[in-house]
Amino acid sequence: MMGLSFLLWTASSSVNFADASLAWPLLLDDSGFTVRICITAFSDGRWTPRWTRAVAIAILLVFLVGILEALGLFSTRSFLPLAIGCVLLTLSALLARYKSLTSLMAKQQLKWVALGLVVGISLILSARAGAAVAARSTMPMTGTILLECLFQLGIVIIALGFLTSLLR
Amino acid sequence: MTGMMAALFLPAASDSLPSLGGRLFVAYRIAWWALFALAVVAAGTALLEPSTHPLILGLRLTKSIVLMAVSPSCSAAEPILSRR
Repeated sequence: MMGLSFLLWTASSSVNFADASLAWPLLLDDSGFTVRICITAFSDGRWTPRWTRAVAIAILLVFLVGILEALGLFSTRSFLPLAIGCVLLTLSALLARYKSLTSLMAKQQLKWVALGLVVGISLILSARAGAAVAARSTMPMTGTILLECLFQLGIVIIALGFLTSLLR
Repeated sequence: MTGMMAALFLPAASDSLPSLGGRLFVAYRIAWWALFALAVVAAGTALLEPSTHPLILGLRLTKSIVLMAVSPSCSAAEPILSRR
């Protein structure tokens, strides 16, 4: 699933990330993101801690909102902020799982994934925040390249975090 | 005696992973190749956009190569990870 998810991410992140009118790539991008963290956090199928069940339900609801917005049935633009909230909640679940692990090897592997995710998500969110600010004013080409660099670098760091944990 | 008979006729325990096969695995491989083709087409289409800056195209291409390279490693490792 993780391998398939990375391939889907290649396709969905090959468009201009700052263009909010591209609803389907945005939906695939952020939903795939959440799925990747979920697979890592709950690889054994156990929803621990208990509050993560509520997070899973929230993810499904936000995904539904995203589909309705992409189909034009909802005129709101609430998917992206809600999806970012879901990503951060899932990341918190991953960190909670990391703290609760007793196996040293599993802990070391999850450490690399968590490190890649925290750094990568920070870069991606910085790029998205920069794009949101730039949408209200004109931005020079250097700024656009810098934001694109942050976004793409964030994706690469997340992928390398997963790869490092698998190779070590 | 029973232990000796079991050792003779029962398959020996092995630490290696069972070989992958079956319809589910075939479906997985088809899905993998379909998504790989989609990823290549998406990356190729992004390169053909004339209005995009060459540096941005380079960044997107690099990212696509990294993700496509990481994907088989994740696919290969999943049976190992799920056994833990």
